[in-house]
Amino acid sequence: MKVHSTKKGTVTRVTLQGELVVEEVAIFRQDLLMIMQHAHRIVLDLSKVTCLHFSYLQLLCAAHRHACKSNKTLSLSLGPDAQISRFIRLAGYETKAGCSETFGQSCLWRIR
Amino acid sequence: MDSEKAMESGFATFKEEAAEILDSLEELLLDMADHQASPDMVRESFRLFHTFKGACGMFDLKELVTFTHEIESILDLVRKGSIALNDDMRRIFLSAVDFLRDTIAEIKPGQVIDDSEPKRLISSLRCIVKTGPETQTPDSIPHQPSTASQNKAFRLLLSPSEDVFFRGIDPLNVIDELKGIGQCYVLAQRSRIPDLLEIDPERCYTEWDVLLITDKDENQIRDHLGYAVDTSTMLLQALNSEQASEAYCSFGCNMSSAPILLLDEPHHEAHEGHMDAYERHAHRADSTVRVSSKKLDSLVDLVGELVTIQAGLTQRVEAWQLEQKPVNPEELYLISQSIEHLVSGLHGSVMGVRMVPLWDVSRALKRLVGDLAAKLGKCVTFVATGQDTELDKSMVERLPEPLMHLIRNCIDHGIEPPDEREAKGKPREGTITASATQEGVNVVITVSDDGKGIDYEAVRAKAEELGLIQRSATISNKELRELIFSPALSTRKIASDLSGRGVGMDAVRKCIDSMRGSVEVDSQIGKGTVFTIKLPITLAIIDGMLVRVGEEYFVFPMAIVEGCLEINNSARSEHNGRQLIEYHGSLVPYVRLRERFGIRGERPQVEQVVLVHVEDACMGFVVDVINGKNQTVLKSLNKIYRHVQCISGVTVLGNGSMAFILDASKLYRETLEAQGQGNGKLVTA
Repeated sequence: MKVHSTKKGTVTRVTLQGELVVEEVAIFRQDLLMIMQHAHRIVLDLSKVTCLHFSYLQLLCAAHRHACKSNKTLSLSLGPDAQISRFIRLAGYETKAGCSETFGQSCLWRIR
Repeated sequence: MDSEKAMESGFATFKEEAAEILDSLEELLLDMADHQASPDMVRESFRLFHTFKGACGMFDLKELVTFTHEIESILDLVRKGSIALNDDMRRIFLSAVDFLRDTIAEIKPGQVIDDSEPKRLISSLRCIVKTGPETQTPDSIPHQPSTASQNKAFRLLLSPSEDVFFRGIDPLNVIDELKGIGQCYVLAQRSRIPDLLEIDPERCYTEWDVLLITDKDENQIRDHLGYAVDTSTMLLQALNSEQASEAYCSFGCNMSSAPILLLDEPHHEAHEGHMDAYERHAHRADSTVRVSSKKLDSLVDLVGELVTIQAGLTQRVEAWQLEQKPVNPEELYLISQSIEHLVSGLHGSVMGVRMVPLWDVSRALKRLVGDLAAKLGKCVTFVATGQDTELDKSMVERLPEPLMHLIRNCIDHGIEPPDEREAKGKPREGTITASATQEGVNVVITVSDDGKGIDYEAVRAKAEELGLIQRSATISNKELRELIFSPALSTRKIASDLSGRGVGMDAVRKCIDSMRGSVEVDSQIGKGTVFTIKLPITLAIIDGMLVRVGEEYFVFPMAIVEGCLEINNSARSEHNGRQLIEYHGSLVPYVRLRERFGIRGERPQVEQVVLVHVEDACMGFVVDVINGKNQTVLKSLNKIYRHVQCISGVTVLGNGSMAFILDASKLYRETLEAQGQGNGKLVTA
């Protein structure tokens, strides 16, 4: 897994690349915490991810909740490849409504 | 270092469990040959391969995961009724089990596995799948089309344990599995996921609510979920049509796309098909060497009582020493009685732990019969009975080799080719039967065939040629049968041309002898041959008769002792150079242990004779003193003494001295040879 972060205006784009394996999920949490300390609008780009362990979906959910509490925004960019979308659907994360934790705010998993 | 040890221990457990799975698979695949593959059996095979794959995945054994996955995919086609399971496929599955078993036995963590054999097997399987029959035989894997009337709705609440990732299990595999058996709607419950500051990302906080529309019944669904049971809480509920509609709405499904559901209330389908084999298999699953907690509790109780008595004894000894009270023999006797009672209980309990049934041996034999019959172009059925009979674990581990040799003999030389059998008015298919029963302190195992029987003339001719018997000597069929076990005859591959296996019937006898057992053969020309093996139930502790010659102690296994006699100068007699005594109206040969083992010292005026039953005959062993019955804990001989003939082990006596355990069979045969009667019995008991 490679994590690359770029800042453009007020938006911080965090690009993840390669296989996101469970062994590295704790490291990614540390990366996210660091990034979220300094950024206000974060876009997580998963378009270059080739494989994803389910634990990352939970982590992204946790990160989104943290962002909502901190009045920050966190969104996903999945790219044209439908692979990650399929994975999100398989995991049952895709939803028409938001979750109760982030009520009234954007939901990371809402179908657009 | 701790984590390394934990890894090692985990890997050892994995190897044990993987071996058990493979054993179960082998038995199931063998059962399929006898009963045709019922859907339950196919499903169970699939589940076992799936569980095996999961276990390999936990230890990152990629090659095995890939191989098992390929097998699973083909079994899945069988399971779904797309292809029929034929005998060729079943044989390749068995070869796959062999490969996996051999690999698992040798594998080390992180080892890269040569995948040439898996590739070959998969390629063969694919070839069969491509060229095999598209449709199925009526009794095999009935295809169940997913018609509207068979659809049923189920709701599953799946809550994996938090540490599921640590166990190498991905809960999404369960969902993926469900998608394979029907239409599946999944909602993840994410309310338990903590904030980024608090989350331990290696733990699972998600639960799933699944709506499943399938033609499978509840048991079949549970089969698919089987491997996840240990790591998840699962609640499976069959829904009626109203509940299903509600669930549909709550899952946000478009009702127009809903499959037509069964309108009746959900019901449980009865298991059909070849349940005997399946149930036997299920029963077999726990026939491994596991100790029940009940047995362990009983052991702990006994040890607890022993500790209490020991404490009581120490108190009394201290009281006698400190207060200089006289020793009370009655008190000592009571303590000794209690200890004796407890030790006897401990003996029974520990022996119970060591006893294992003969299921594994039977499975190995069944496999051998199938493989060898196919190789030799013979039709043979294997019938096994009494597999529940229990025997000491050490013997069960040593038993397959001699039994396999007997079976090879039966197939190779006993069972005639199908045409020959038909010409003789026999069924084209020969039968080999293996049975086991407990008779007192022994287990009797018989291996029999309905083949042509022993060719006595051929045995006799070869024995004469080898000089084992004199030409024109009167030799009974029984004596000729005994010759089969002679090293000279069997290693020369005469009576049975067991080419290329390098082991003769003498090796069978040696192996059985080493377990203090006996093997005999009976045969009727044209009707078949029966090998009878008699083994003591346990080898660890036996009841023995302790005797003394000079300063040396010996033990005879009590099971073979027939009686005792006193012998003095007037009672001794010699007939044609043979030492004989009279016992119950017969003349019985005897051997003086003092002479046999070169023990120095004077013979007492009155000597004792221990009469033992050995190989259908009676023989006496002359000793100085008979000490009586003795509970004998057997120890094997040190390497230095392994060459000592006629001694099968040693035991340590209560006074610290050592006693040799006599191998009466060897002593008997040695005596026969010394007296020039190598082929016959001396006196029939």
